[in-house]
Formats: sequence, structure tokens, C-alpha cells
Amino acid sequence: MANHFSEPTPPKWADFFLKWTCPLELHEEIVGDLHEQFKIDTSEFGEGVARRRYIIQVLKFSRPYFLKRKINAWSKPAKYPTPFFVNLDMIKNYLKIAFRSFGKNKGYTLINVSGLALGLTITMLISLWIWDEWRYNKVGKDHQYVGRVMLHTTQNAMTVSSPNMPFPLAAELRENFPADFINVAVSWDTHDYTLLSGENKFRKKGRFMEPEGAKILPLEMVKGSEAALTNPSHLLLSESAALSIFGTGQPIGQILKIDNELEGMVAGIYRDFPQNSDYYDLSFIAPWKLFTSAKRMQWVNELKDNWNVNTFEILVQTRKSSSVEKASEKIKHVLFRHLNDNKLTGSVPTLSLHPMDKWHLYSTWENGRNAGGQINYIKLFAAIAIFILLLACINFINLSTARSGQRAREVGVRKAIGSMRGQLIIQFISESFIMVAFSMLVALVLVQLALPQFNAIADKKIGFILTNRAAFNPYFLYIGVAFCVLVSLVAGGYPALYLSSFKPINILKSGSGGTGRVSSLPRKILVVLQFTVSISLIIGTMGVFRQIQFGQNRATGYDRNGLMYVKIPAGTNSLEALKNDLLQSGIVASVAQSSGPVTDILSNSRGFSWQGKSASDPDEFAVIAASHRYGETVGWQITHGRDFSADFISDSSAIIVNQSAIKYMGLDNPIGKKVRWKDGTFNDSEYHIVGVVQDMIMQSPYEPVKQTIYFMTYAPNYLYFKLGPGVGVNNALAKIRPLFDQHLPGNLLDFQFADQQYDTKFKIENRVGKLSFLFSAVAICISCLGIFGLAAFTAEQRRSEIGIRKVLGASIASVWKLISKDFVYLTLIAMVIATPVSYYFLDQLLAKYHYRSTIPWWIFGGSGLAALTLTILTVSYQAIKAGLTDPVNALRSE
Amino acid sequence: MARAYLGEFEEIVLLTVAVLQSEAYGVTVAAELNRRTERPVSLSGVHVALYRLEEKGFVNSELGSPTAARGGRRKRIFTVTTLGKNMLSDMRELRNQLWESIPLPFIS
Repeated sequence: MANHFSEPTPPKWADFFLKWTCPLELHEEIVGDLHEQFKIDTSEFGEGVARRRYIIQVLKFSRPYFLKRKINAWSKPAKYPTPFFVNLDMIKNYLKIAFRSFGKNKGYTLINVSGLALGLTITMLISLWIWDEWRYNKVGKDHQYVGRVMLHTTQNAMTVSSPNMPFPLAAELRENFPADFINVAVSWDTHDYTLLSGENKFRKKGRFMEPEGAKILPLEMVKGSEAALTNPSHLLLSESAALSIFGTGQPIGQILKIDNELEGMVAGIYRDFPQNSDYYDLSFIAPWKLFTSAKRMQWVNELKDNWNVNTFEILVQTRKSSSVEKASEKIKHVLFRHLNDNKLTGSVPTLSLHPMDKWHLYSTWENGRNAGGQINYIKLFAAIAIFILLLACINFINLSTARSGQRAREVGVRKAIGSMRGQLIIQFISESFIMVAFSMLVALVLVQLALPQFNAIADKKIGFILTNRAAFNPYFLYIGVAFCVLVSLVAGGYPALYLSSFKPINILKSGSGGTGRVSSLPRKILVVLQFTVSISLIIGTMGVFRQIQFGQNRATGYDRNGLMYVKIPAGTNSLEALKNDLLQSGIVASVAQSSGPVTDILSNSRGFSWQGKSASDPDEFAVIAASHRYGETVGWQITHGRDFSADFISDSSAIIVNQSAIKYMGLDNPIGKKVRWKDGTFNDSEYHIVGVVQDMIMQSPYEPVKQTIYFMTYAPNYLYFKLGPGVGVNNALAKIRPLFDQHLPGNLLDFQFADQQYDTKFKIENRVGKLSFLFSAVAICISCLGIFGLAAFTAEQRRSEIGIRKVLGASIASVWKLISKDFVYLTLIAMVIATPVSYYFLDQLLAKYHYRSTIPWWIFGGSGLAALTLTILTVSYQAIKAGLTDPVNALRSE
Repeated sequence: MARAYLGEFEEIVLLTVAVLQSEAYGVTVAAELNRRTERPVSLSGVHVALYRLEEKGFVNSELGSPTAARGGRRKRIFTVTTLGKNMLSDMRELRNQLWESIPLPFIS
């Protein structure tokens, strides 16, 4: 019963009930409110009413909103426990101790931070590169619906894939698959053209497309509308091209002339495509109808209903209800209907769609299936990034555990005072977090500094995420922090577990927690791992460079020195006057014409037959038109027979074949043999072989030279000329250019040097070589930093031992041997492990090359020797320092 | 703009928090509501409304000082956030607009 002398209180059981139903974190304020209300009610209505109301209120609090929270809190561990590590005072203490121990061991801190910072820098650079590659072609928000039609032809169990389509296919896709395709556009590949604005000439890349193309790419219009492409006399220009042609003036409404032939009015400006896009340098887009209005393009109109000639690129955009994959499956057999009378090829080609997202990363095709491509490099570099980061973490682990003796007493005291193991783990991990975070800051600065050079090597334009506003993405910050946490867990996890496991009694009695030999074993394993990775990277780098050397040393079969060529604008009638003037200028030794550049094969053909060929034999050749003096100009090597000659009238039907072609055709005595060429569309004639030339490397220097037939034809496509001996390149261009301007006015020609073009064939390999050189340098650098620290530690630990040895007469050399021995053994073990591992990977890497260098033993020996030398040099500094110390100092301090 | 849904009761509670300035916590809000409206308002209902408002970002809260009447327990003081203020004025404007759109004879 209520006691009149004491304050009335709410019923205890109700409070107890509330404790049971109410979430812990809200309990205090709710009970407080209820009690306050109870007081008010008591003074207003008396205790009885107040108690009743109190109970009702308490019961009302058991509503779903609170109960749900309570149940959740039960099923999980307590939602807000008093966490031992979020104790501000302890954290302050951890920080203080961390900074003190960093300051006390400046050398170790420096080694740790620089190793981690180096590792993080490389990891970040590689991540930026991977991110950039990964985003390749992913422009616009609907990029996943864009694709390109691919055609797969199977002959003799070999499937060849190509993006060249018959023209009527576009209409077929539009009409018969309206549920799948929203846009279909025929397009002509990106090419160089001369743009003429008044008197000013510009060399720009552009493409001709059907109007839907602008929606597919998609274009982001700055001025005007993409619909301009429906008008055959309108053009779209990129922002940068507009700037370079018209400056700050108004580009819209200006007239541009393409290749001095096609005229169009600029009707729209689109934003330039990002650097990581296939359309990066696309400066203008012109309507398809403008393209076909050219006289020399009448053949395109003739092919309007021809299903047999595959020439055009077809871009598609699927509806969102469909997908590139689904549509790809549906159009697979479209050609069956149209090519059933196709007698030329054994089987009818199939179709598929190649999604834009994969154009770059998965660019190669093997037997009709989309195989790898750039994605292989992404995987390789990702693996390297992880390994380099691991190396840096290993340094941290090794130095931390090696220094454990110094921290052991602290651990002992902390444990004796009552620290729990968990707290110690948190302490050491947070210490490594500070180290990692600091290294991260250093690394960010390094990345910023190294990015221009890295971009130059990797041929990228990566903007740094933190300084480039356009590229900034808040996720990078989260990833950065998450990354710091991850690295500090990897690097600090083992030391934290190790240090916190010491038994206080042992430590405080003996002064050290380590158990000597046993504790140094993991350290040794990690050093071996570090050197295995470093040596493997060195071996890989040497392998790549050897492969480049190998390709460069392969005989090209022609003379690149002073050889130049230029693409002649289409529609040029006669080159004879120009050729005469060139020869008369005294700069040019010889001039010739061809259908393509000497560093590439533009045209392949089928339908050849010769004596001894059975119907099932393959008959695909590279076909090249070569004029008189072509051979003399490029400097090819005739092995049998003779060159084309103006003395033989019959040479109009003469052909010269290369050695690969002789092998391919299986001819023993090729000179004079007849070859018939009937390709179903244009040609049906008989030719005779007059000569055989040594194989010329026109395509990849790592691939076998393609069987090639050279026809005696004056093709108007490319003009070759060989500079006379001793003529300087700049001097020659200055004199030659006016001649071309005079004979081919209105065109800006792109003069190419055969040697420069040939060097671009090694672009990818050179890039990979340079990058892997950089990576292996960093890897070996980090590893050496690590053993430098370890050697210092060993020297310090064995200070008294060395002192006693010296007192007993040991020489500096023997002290040096004592300390270096262990590290030399570790490096040797690493060499033994690295050899088979790197052999395997190098073999895999080289396997994609048809012509590949051997992997000689000295690569392994040399790399191992280099690593060994570096190890000895690194350790020697510490070893000799230890050997030079006066033993008195070492022994007196005990 | 999609915005968190605000019920009628929540709106009144939010307004009350604004009225009470820095003195808004469970008991005072409930008392104020009891005083101004005829309907019975339970403490638990007010609490739930306040917590929901906080989750939606319309009010902020912090623990205040303990008092003897509460048995030495602290109270949670609520204040209206800028988002809450904007929400209130938006709703007021909407109502005003709606009122103004009603043809005159209808009101009289």
C-alpha cells in the first residue's frame, strides 16, 4: 500500500516489463519521460489514477516499432555494447605509443613507409590503368545495348571472323527484327580525310554513317542536332575539330570539303569521345548519302542488293526489352536465306553481335568465338599489382615481428596491468593503420608526380582522381579508405597476433618474448617469397625484351631506310606528271605505285587455282598491286625468276609470288606456272608467275608471312618513293610537299616513313616491356628495403656476439660472412623456386606469338645473379658496419 | 521531388517540436498536444513519431540534463532540422494553394 511519507513511485513490475520490451538504447529516455508524466499525473489526479495511467502507457510501449528493435537486438549481439576499443583514453594512449615507437626507430619507420608507399603507388597506378581500360568504350548510359555485327566464315575447319557485312543485311535486320533492334546503321570505317575550309587544309579522321549511327554511338550534341545526318549535305563535327578548324568562330553553317570532292555544311557539334573509346579521334561524321553521292563510290550503290560482297560495318542498338546476347542468337542464321545459292564457299557464314563493351577488352576471335585481348593484360597487371602490394606488406610483417623484442616488454606490462589480448591486437593493428594511412598520403603524392610519365609509357590520358574534378567519384574515397583498412589488416594482422601472444611471465623475466629460431622461420619464408616474386618479374621483363629484340631482328625482306609512301586521294586520275617531277627533283631515287602501304596488307582474296591444286585445297592469298619499279623502290629480294619489266609486254598478266605462297601452293618449279583467278564477282583471268621474292614482313613480325601474290598493276592508291642516298628527311619533305600540292591541290597528304610505321608494330610489346621493367624495378627495390631492415636488425641483435668474436680475433670479412650468409641462402632458394614458376608464365606469355624467342638458361641465371648481387650489396652495408664497430662499445653496454 | 512521407500525426508532432523550441521532449510534446487538441495522445505514440521523424531527418536530437522528477534519467531533446523546416513550409504552401484554388462559394 502507498506510504504517505514517501514519494509515490510507479509500479516496479511495470518498469521491469518495460526493460524487457524496450530497446536498450532508448530505455533511459523513455523511462525518464514515463516517470516525469507519473509525477505530473500524481499531483493532478492522485496516485491511483497516475498508477493506472502509468501501466497503460507502459503497455502501449510494447508496440511493433519497439518490439521489432528489441527482437533484432536479441538475435544480434548487443547493438550498443560498451566497446573496449572505442575508448577514447585508450585510443589516445595507443596513438601516443605508436608515434613514440615510430619516432624511436626512425630507420625502421622510414623503411616501412617508403616500402609501403612504393607498393601503394604502383598498385594505385595499375588500378587507375585497369579502371581506365575497364571503362573502355562504355560511353553513354546505354552502351550495353550497342553492338557490331560479326560474320563468321568457316572453311577447311578454320573459322574466320570479320566485321565486314553485305549491304542489304542492314535493311533485313531493320525489317525482320523490329522487336530487337531500335537502331541499325551501315557505316564506313574510320579513315583519314583532308578537310578543306576555304584555303585551309586539315587532316582529320572521320566516318560516313547512316543517320541512326548518331543515336547508336551515341553522340552528345553541343550545338545543333544529330538529326542533321538525315540531310545528305550536312556534317557533324567534334568539338575539338571545330576549334582547330574554325577557332573561336561560329562553326555552324560553314562549308567543308572532304578530300576536295564532297561538300557538306557543318550542322552540329558533338562532344569529343573520351580517350578510352574507339571513337576517341573521330573528328567528323558525315551522312552515308554524301558518301555514295561521290562518283567513285558508285560501286556502293551497285552493291545495294548484293549479298555476296562483304564490305560494310553494321552497328546496331538493341531495345531494352532485348539484349545484344539475345539478338545475337536470333540473327545467327539470317544469311542462310540469302546465300543458299552460294557456290563459292562450302558452308554459309553465320552472324553474331559483338557488344561494344567487349570491342576493346575482348578484341580477338578464335574459331568464331570471342576470345581474349586486352583483358589478358588487365589480368596480368592486376596480378602484378597484388604481388607488389604483398611485397610491401611482407616488409611490414617482417620488420614488425623482428622488432618484437623491443615491444615485448610493453606487451608484458600491458598484460600484467590487465590488458586483454583483443585490446593488444587492436592496438597493433591500429598502429599499422597509422603507418598505412601515412604511406597512402605519400603514395598519393607519388602517384600525382608519376602520372605524366606513366601516361606516356602506357599511352593513356588518365586524370588523377583527386585533382581531376571530372574524373572524381566519391567511391574512390571509400575504396581508398577500405583499401587502407585491408592493407593494414594484411600487414598488421600477423604481427598483432604474434606480439599479443607473448606470455607476460616469460617476457618480464627474460626481457624478450621471441622464441629465437622458431620465430624467425616465417620471416625467412616471407623473404624467400619476396625474392621469388622479384626474380620472376625480372625474368619476365627480360623475356619480353628478348621477344621484342627477336621480332626486330627478323629479316623484313625489304629496305625501310628512306622508304616513304603516301596515300593518294581517291579520284586522282594520273600520277605520271607527279612521278616525273619527283624523279627530276633529284631527291627521289625511284617511284612506284601500289594498292596498299608496305607495312600492311589491305586486301585478301579467294578463288585462285593452279596446276596441281585439288578443289579442297585452301586458296586464300594476300593480293597486292605492284607497278614497275615497285621492287626496286622497296628493295625486295628476288630469289627466283625476275622482277616485272617494261620490256615484256606480256607482263600485264604477270604475277610475282612470295616464298610462303610457293610453299602454300606446293609448287616445285614455280617460274612460268599459270594461276587462274576467279573470285565470282569481278575477276576471271589467267596469270603467269615470273618471279619469286623473299617473304616481306608487312603485318605482325611475330606471325608467319602471309602467302602473297603481287600483280603488275598501276594501282592509284599508294605512291611509294625511295629517297636518294644521303638525303635528309626534313629537307626531302620540304622539297616534295610543294610538288604534291601542285599536282594534287586541295589535299593535305599524310607522308609515312616505312621505318617509323614498322616500329609501331612493336608498340604493345614495347609498352608491356617498359611497364614490366618499372614493376620489377619497384619489386626488387621493395625487397631490398626489406632485407636492408632485416640485416640491420640481425646486426643489432648479434651485437654482443660480434663483439666477442672480434675480441677473439674475427676479421671484418668473417663478420660480414656471418651476417650475409643467411640472406644469400634465402636468395638462392628464391632463385630455385622462381626458375620453374617464371618459366611457366613466360612460356604462357610467349605462346600467343607464332614466332617467339627461345627462353635460354642465362635469363634465369642472369636474373638470379642480379638479385644475388643486389642482396649482397644491400646486406653488406649493415654487415660491414657491424664488423667495423669497436667491440668495446658493444660489450660495455651489456 | 520524391520526399519522405509525412503523416498527419507526424506533421502535428513536428509542428509542436517547432513550437516548443528547445524544450521539446516526449512529455512536453505530449502535454502540448493534449492541451491544443481534444484527442487523447499517448506517450508511446509521441515517442514513435519523434523517432520516425528523426529517422527521416526532420528532427535532430541530443540527450539533455537529468532531473530529479525523472529519477536521475536524462531526456532526449528534439529540434527541427532545416529539412524539417523546409518540409513544413512546403506543406503549408501546398495547403494555401489548395485553399486558394477552392471556388469561393464553396467555403461560405
